[in-house]
Amino acid sequence: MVERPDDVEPHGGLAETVGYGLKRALLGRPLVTSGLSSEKLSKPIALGVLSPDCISSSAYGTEEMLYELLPYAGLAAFTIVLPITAVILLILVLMTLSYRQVVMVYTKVGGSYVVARENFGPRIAQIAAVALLIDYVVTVAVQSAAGTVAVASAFPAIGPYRVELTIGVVLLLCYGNLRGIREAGRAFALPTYLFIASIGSVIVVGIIRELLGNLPMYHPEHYHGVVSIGHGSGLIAGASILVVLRSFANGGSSLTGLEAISDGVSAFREPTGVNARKVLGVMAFSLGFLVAGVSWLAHVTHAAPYISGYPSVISQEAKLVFGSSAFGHALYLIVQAASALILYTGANTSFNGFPYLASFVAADRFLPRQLTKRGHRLAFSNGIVVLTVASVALLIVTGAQVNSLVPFYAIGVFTGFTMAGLGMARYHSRRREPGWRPKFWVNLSGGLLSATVVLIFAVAKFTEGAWIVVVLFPILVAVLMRLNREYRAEAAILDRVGRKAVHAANYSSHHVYVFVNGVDLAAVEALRYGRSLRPTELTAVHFMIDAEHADHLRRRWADLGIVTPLKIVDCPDRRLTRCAGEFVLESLSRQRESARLRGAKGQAGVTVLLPRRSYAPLLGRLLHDRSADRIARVISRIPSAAATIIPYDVQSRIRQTFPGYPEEGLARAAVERLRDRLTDSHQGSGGAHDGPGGEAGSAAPDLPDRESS
Amino acid sequence: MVAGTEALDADESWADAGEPDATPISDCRDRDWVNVNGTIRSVTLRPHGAGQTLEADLWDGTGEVTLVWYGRDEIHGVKPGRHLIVQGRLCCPAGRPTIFNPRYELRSPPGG
Repeated sequence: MVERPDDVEPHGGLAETVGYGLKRALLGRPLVTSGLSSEKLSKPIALGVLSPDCISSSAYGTEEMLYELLPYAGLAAFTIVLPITAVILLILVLMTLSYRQVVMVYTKVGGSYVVARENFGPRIAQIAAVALLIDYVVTVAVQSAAGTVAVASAFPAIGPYRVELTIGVVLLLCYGNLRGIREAGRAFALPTYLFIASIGSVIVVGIIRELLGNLPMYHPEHYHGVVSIGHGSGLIAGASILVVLRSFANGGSSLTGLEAISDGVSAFREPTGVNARKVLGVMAFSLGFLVAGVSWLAHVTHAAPYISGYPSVISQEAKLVFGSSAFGHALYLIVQAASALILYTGANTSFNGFPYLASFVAADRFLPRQLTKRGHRLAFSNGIVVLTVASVALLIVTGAQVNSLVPFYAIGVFTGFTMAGLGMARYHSRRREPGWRPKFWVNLSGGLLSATVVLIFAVAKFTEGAWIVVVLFPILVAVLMRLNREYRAEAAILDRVGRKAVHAANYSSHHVYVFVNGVDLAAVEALRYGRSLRPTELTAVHFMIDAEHADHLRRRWADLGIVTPLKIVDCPDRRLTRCAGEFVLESLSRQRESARLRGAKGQAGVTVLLPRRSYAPLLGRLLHDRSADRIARVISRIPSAAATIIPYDVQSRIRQTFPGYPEEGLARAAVERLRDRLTDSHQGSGGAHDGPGGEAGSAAPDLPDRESS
Repeated sequence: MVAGTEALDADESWADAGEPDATPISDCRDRDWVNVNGTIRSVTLRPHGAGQTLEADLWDGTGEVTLVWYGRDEIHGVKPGRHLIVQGRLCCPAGRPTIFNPRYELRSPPGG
C-alpha cells in the first residue's frame, strides 16, 4: 500500500527473505494457483488411493477384539471373537449400503459432514465435523503406530524405538504433503493391492492348510509377553456382557476409513456416483473378507496379541501359515512389508482428508479462515500442520500403542457413520422417492447401530481414554458454534451498514494525524504517505509523557525543517490510548463545529497513521510494546475515524541502501534525503492561522483540490 | 468528551492560582479583551518557513482557547503541562476561540 520512493529501492522489486529461500529449497518451487487441477481417477486407481485407511483396518481389528476378550474369557475368546466379528460385518454391510446412497446423492463433495449439513442444517453438521476431525487425527496416530507394529513384528529390534519411528513417519508424511504428495497419488494405489493380495493369500493358504489338517496352532498360554489369559472356559466364568461390549467396541476400529470413498467422491470419473458406488462395494467386500479371514485364522491358530503390541496377531498368523522355511519366511516378510506400507499409506489418507474437510468447514464459517488458505504447493498447509501437531501429541501421550489409541478412535468414526446413516434416513423420509422405504430402514438401522456403538464406546472405554473424547467433543462443537456466531454477527453488521458506509465516506473535511514518537525513517515515511491522502490538514502529533523527550523532538523537527506542523499534546496521566482516543474525538467535533459555521455539507473524518518500525518477527516480539495496536484498536471504535499502522522495515532498508555502514549515521542521512523530498512535494495545506484574522477558514483553500481528485 | 476528572483537576489548579481577575473561558465572547488562566494542553509548531507560528491550547476547566504567536518556533516555558496567565483580544476564526500574540505570564512550573 505504501509506495516506496524509487531511490531507496536500488535493486527494484522486492527482496526475498532467507526463510522463503529455505522454504523453497525444502518444498520445491511454488505451484501457481491455476495449476490446481482436479485429477480424475479411474476405478482401480481410486480403489487403491482411497481405501488404504479402510482396508488396512483389518490389520488390527481382530487383534483389538482379542485384547479385550483374552484376560476374561480365556481360550474361549478365540471362539467368541467369531460372533463379534459377525456383528461388525453386519454393521459393515449396513453402512456400505448407506454410503452407496450417499455417493449417489452427493456427488460433488460428500462425506457425513455434507450429509448432515444438507439434512440437519449446518449446526448439527458440526457434530459430524468434530467427529471427522477427531477421527482424522486419531487415524494418523493409529495407522502409523500400527504400521510401526508391522515393522517391529518382523524386526523386533526396532521395538524399543517404536515411538520415535512412528513420529518420524508422521513428520515425513507431513513433509510430503506440504510438498504436495497428491501428485504422486497413483503410487499410493500399489500398497492397497499388495496388501489385499498378501493377506488374502495368507487367509486362503491358511484355510486350505486347515482343511488339509496340517495347520499348526499356537499355545499362547505358555508364551511370555502375551496378554494375560484368563482360566475360565467361557463367558460364564465371571466375564460379563461388558467384556463382550468392550471387545465389540474395539473391533469397531476395523471399519474405520469406510467413509473415505464418500469423502473423495469428487475424484471419480463420470458418472461419479455410479463409479464410486462400485468401488465402495469392492472395497467393503475386500474389507469384509479380510476381517472375517483374519478373525477365522485367529480362531484356528490361537494367535494372541502381545502386551508390547508386537508381534501382531496378523503377523503371527502369516508366520504360521507360511511355515518357517526360507520361502515361507520370504513370504512372511512380504506380508509385513505390505502391512507396513498400507498402514502408513492409510495414515496419509488423513493428510488429504483433514485439511480438505477443515477448509470446507472453515468455508462454512465454523473454523478460522486460515484453514481455507492454500499454501506454497497448493496444499492446505495450515490444516496439514494442525493435523501433524495434534497426531504427534497423541502419539507421545499414548506411547504409540495401538491399543491405547483405539479408545480415542471409534467414537469419532461411528459418530460420522451415525450422521451419515440418520442423515440419509431423513433424506429418504422427506423425499419419499419410489422405493424409499427399504432404503430408509437400512439407513436408519445403520445409523442407530452406529449410535449404539458410540454409546458402548463412551461407557465401556470411558476410563481408558474415551473420556477425553467425551469431554473434548462437546467443547469442540461449542467452539465451532461460537466461531460461527462471531462470523455471522460480523456478516449481519456488514449487511446492515455496508452500502450506507461505503457511500457515506464523502468528507468535507478530513484531518490526517501522524502519531510520532521521534523523528525516524518510519515517521517520515508515514508523513509522506499521509500527504498523499490529500487531507484538509496534516499534522504530526506527539503525546508528551516525558517533557525532555518532547523538547528534543521539537528541536529536531525544527532543525530538520520538516514542514508538517508538529503538535505536542500533554498526556499527564500517561494513558496513551485514552489520550489518543480523546484527541481524535475532539478533532472530529472541532471539524464539525467549523463545518457548521461554514455551512459546509458532508462529514468530518480523521485518519490516524501510526508509523511502526518493524523488525524481524522474533526480535519484534521483544522490541515492540504493541502500543500502536492498542491505539489503532481504540480509534477503530470511533465512527468516521480510521487508524492505519504503517510498518517500515528499517533494518532491511538500511542493509539494502548502504551495505556495510553503521546504522545510526545512515538513518539520519536517509531521513534528511526524505525530508528534502517532503519539502519539494509540500503544497502548503491551508491552516487557520496562516494570516491574521484567518477569515478564510481552515478547510476552504483545499476544498476544490480534494473534490477534483 | 472531556473526562469529568480532568475538568475537576483543572478546576482545582485554576482555584489554586488565586487569580481573581481571570475570566472563565466559557464566559469569553468574540472581540472581548480577556484575561485567561489555565494549563497548556498541547503545543503546535507550524514551520511555514518565514511565516511560522507557535500555537498552544490553553485549558482552564471550562473551555479551551488557542494562543497563536507569529514568527516564533519556541517560547521558553510555553510547554505542555505548564500553567499560564494570558491577556489579549479574543476572536473566533472558524469558530475556534483564539488569541493572537497574547501577553503571557508563566506561573510556577509543574511540580514546583
